[in-house]
Amino acid sequence: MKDFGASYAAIRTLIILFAASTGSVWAGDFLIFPSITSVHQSQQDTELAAKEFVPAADFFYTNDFNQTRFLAEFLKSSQEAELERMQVGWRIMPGKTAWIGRFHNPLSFWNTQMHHGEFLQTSLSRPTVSNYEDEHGPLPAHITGLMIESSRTAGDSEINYTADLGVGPTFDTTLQPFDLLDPHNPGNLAASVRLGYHPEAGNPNQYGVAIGYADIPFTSTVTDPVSNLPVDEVEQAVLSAFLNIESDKFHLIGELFILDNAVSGTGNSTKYTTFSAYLQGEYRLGESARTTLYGRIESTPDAAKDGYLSLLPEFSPHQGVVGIRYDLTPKQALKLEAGKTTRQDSLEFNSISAQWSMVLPL
Amino acid sequence: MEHGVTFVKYIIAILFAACVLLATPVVHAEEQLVAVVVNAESGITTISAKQVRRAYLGASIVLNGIEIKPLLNETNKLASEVFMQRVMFMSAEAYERQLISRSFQGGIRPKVYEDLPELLSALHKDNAAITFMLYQTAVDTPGIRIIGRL
Repeated sequence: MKDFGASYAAIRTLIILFAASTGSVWAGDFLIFPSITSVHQSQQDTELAAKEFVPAADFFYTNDFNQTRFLAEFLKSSQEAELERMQVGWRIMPGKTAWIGRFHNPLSFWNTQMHHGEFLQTSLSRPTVSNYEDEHGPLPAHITGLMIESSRTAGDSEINYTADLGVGPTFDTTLQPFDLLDPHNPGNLAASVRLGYHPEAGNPNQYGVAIGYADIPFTSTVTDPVSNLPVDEVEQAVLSAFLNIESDKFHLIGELFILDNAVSGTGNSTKYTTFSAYLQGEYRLGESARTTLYGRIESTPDAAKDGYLSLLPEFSPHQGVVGIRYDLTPKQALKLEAGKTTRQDSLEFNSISAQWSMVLPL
Repeated sequence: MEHGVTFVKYIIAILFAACVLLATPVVHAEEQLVAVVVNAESGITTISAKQVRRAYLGASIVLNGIEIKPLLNETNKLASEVFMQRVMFMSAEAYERQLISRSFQGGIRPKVYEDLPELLSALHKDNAAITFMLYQTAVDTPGIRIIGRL
């Protein structure tokens, strides 16, 4: 259970920053992403039933003080309260920033683009492989440490890279990222590097690759369901590639991950290699483009043979969704999504979900 | 003969009126041009439409050794509309959404000014700052220099 006292203190701090962000040195960007999500599944277990109706708000603040940049993001929902990001950046030179704090792991492109800003993503759900740690996501979504971001234009194009080094998650029943508000359970080393290429600088079209490493200690010894051996650590190496292609009408976003999970315990070690991929296509209707149709397919074909992924019963090796998003106003959206999911624990279900989301201030 | 002169006078008058009418939209279009400006002391000498677009989308643009800082002029609705249409090629709503997304990813978002004296003050204080305004406004405003006409 999270320390809600510290969480409310974090909310208070962000609201004070918001109140102060009118015409003072604290005047920065303060954004709130409220959302209400309702999910109904054809098959339910205890965990799924608890997810039927989820109101949430993501508080985001950023500001510049000369060469220094501050960024904080805090999520409060009916299920959790978490300081998602807290980072301080120093602009070393044009296009190059060094960050320290807790940040999004750039290993997953989706993760860095959308994260908890529900309004920002077209679809209601996220690809399973890019899910948050506490929702049985297999990759570290947050790292606490040092990150360097750099971009360089060459003609019309831009090349950017992000490199980070820090503390990754631990594992109990799911991954548990290092919590700045409750820092009693630090993980081990995690690092990643992402290289992106924009054919036209400033344009969202982008292609890239990333590589990541995380040494994830378990809080207790568990049995690897595939090898039946006791394990207390996983060393994860990941190679990924992504694409993001956008035009007025179309948007295509996809990622491919090759996961190398070396699960080990006293005197034993088993290595599993598997791949995971998703592709989401979107089409905006009409001149106003207020209505968007979308669909996503995702697959991790050998998940059942991977001892680490088998420890995440709610991880979904196979999932397909189709949906519609309607922008009520430029900063407010309604989404309706239907999905078919097969989970790692063999539970199969159809689902229908609805979500209202917006961004404040209007 | 006199009738002929009168006829020619009519023709000339009609042609003159037509020229005035035809010239009017040209003057109007001239007014619709957007000027990209810096303060008169700035070392930035020229900028292309592409560079302006990239800068306002959050890309790092270095000109004459200076990383430019775009200031978003929302003091004049017409200037904003023309800028969005001619330079950014998107609606104000689409642009705002891109900025929110950019900011959420840790990027820098251009500062917004809704008051012209405040905008000019910010421009005068920073030799790296650029902004845009209607061309005629830029011509009539002292202490600034036009580095791009879009």
